Formats: sequence, structure tokens, C-alpha cells
Amino acid sequence: MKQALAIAAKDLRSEIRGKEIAPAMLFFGATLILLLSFSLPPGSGRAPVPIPVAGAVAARHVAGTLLWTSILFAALIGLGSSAAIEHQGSRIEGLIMAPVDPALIFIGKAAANFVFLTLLEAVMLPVFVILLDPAPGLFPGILLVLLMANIGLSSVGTLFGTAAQFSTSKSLVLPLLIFPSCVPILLSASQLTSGLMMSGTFEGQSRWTILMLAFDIVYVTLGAVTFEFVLTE
Amino acid sequence: MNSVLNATGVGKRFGRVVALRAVDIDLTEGETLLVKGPNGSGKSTLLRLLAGLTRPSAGSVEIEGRPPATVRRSVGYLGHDPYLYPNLTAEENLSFYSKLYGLDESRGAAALSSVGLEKWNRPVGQLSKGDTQRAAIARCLLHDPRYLLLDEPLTGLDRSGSELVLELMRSFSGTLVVATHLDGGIKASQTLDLGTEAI
Repeated sequence: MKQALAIAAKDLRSEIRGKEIAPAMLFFGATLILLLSFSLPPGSGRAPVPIPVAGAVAARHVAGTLLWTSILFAALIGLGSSAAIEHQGSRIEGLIMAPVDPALIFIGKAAANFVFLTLLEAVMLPVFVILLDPAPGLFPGILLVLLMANIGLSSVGTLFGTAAQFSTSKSLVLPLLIFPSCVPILLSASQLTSGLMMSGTFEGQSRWTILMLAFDIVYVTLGAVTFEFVLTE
Repeated sequence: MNSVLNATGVGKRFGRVVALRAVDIDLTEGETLLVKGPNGSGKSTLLRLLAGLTRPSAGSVEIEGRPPATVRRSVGYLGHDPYLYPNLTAEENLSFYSKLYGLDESRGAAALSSVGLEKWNRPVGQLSKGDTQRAAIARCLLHDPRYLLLDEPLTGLDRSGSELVLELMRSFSGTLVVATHLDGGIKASQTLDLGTEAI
């Protein structure tokens, strides 16, 4: 596990120095959520609404989808860049030549991507909160959904981001692999977020929680087991 | 002596392009093989096959009787790319690889010192080609490999750097395979000229 930590630490240190992934991802994410949030009535996220704002209920229904659509598009930039850095100069071969279990390479890379996603959300969420004004009591729940979804997204992004690098049409292959794979996680995350915005609790949302956790487990396992084949010619 | 590094009829095709025709290699422990040939003759492909980074289209490669991918702990490989991260210093890069190999982090500094790299605290992206090559050679030697596969190791090195690397090769006690189109100063027990077997 020390090797996985070393890979994650190397990715984070390299990014802090080079700033090759975060700036584009953060600016794109913040801009997207800003634009989308402006399409909702101000204050429509507050629950309960003392005097309902016109369209507030509908807005809370779609709030989760807006948040997660923004996160997905911004994350795609970061996940693609993260994998590309390892393939530039064939650096991935340095990892392959080292006596490291490919599953640990996957875990290390996915852990770094998890941090990048969390950083992205740390920028996007305040914009979402300011413009939609959800009740402060919802924040822990929203954070929990974000962290649960990040496990799956970072796993999918690491696995398919790396696989796409071996293709000659990277920019085409990456979204083709990532978008469909992310559907179960994003669907669960947006439903859980919208549910929280509507009712203030996770009550009645257990199926979405189970679906998300199940896909988290599936994608982490799939990545750890198949990364060896992704890395080999 | 028993052979430790074997290639039997090993060849490589990329689609319809033949990158390397059937090559046979038989090296015993401590031998040095010099692989010569012009650009495009398959030298790099052969070294990648020996390192287990590419699968052969024909024939087989064995190191100590096993596929190369299973004995990577014993192999040091220097390809065309240094496998170093440009935003990290040479020392940080070597420290990272030390952790991957389960070695003490101080090994990185020792390896950099052995190749005479003075700018070890500068990001690799800011190093000259020669200094980057020195750092890459240090990365190969970091884990004291028994097999060293060097693809054009003198590329980018000035005279003193070349002499230092040639001395490192001469003093290397394991099995060495060096691919180069310039063979000056390399003493080899066997030579494979791909120029005559070229595609």
C-alpha cells in the first residue's frame, strides 16, 4: 500500500508544482455551475420555503442534475489530463517496469483523482450554495453524496482515462468510455442531491444509496483487477 | 556457464510493418551484448522485447528461464524516454522510484551522485538533455539490477558524461545489453548487427 500512497503523493506534488490539471478543471466547473444556477429562481434551494418562490419546487428537483452534470463535464477535463500526463514521455512504462502490483498503481492514481475531484467540488459547491441557497442543514448530506460519488467517478476516470491513452483517438474514446459508465453513479448522486433538496433527508432514498455504493464497489474492483490488462500492450 | 538471457527467433510486427526480424540471443551472466544498426533497424524494439514492454509477434524471450515481465525487479531499462516527471526534481523522482522498488529513499541521492548529476534539486523539466539522461541512467541503476538494457545511453551526453557512463557500463558486473549506432568505447563480448538483418 506504500507504493499506492507514493504514486498518489507523486501525482499531487507534481500537480501542485505544474498546475496542469486543476486550473482548467476548476475554472470550467465554476463557470458551468454559475451559468446553470442562474437559470434557477434565486433562493429556490431553501427548504422549507416560507413563501414559495415561483418554480422553487421544480428548481429543487433539477438542482442535483445541474450540479452533477457540471461536475461530470469539469471532471472529464481533469481525468483525461491526469491520465495523459502519465503517458506523455511514456512515463507509464516506468511504473510498469517497477515491481508494483498494477492494482496498486490503479489505487494510487485513483486516490489522486479522488483528491482532484474533491478539490473541484470544493470550488463548485460554494457557487451552487450561494446561488441556490440550500438550507445549511443539508450540507453534511450533500458532502456525503459528493464523497460517495467521487469514489466511483475517480475509479472510472482512472481506468478508462488510462485505457483511452492507448488509443489513437483519445479525445473520442475517453468520453465514449466514461459517459456511459458514469450514468449509474451520476443518476444516484443527482437523485440523492435532489431528494435532499426536496425533503431535507435521505428518507426513501435507500435504493439510490445502494445503487451508488454498489457501483463504487464494482468500479474499484474492476479497476484493481483489470488495470494490469489496461497497462499491457 | 548457463545462459541467463535468451531470445529465440524473436521478432515483432506492427500490423503489416515488420519492426524486427527473427533474432537469436544467448547471454551468460556478466556478458555484454552490443546491438548495432542504423536507425529503424529494430534496436529499440529488441530492447523493449527484452524488457517485456512489448510482446513478440514471433519467438520468445526468457530471462533466467522466465518471461521478462516476471523478473522486472532484476532489470534496469533505459529507453528513449527518461521516465521522469518534469515538475519534480531529479532527487524527488529518484525518491519516488525508490519507494516503488521498496528501497531506502537515500538510494536516490547515491544513484544521482554516481552519475555525477549536480543539479539534483532542480525540476527535471528545467534540466539540459544531458543532465536528464544522467538522471535517467541513475533511475536505471537505482535498484542494483542484474540485467541492464540501455538504448542509446550516450544520447545527449557531453564528453565527460559519456566517459562516466562508459565507465559505469565497464564496471557493471551483471548482464548488459546496449543498443547504439555509435559503438566507440563499449567493450562487448557479443555483437549483434541488425544493420545486416535489417528490414
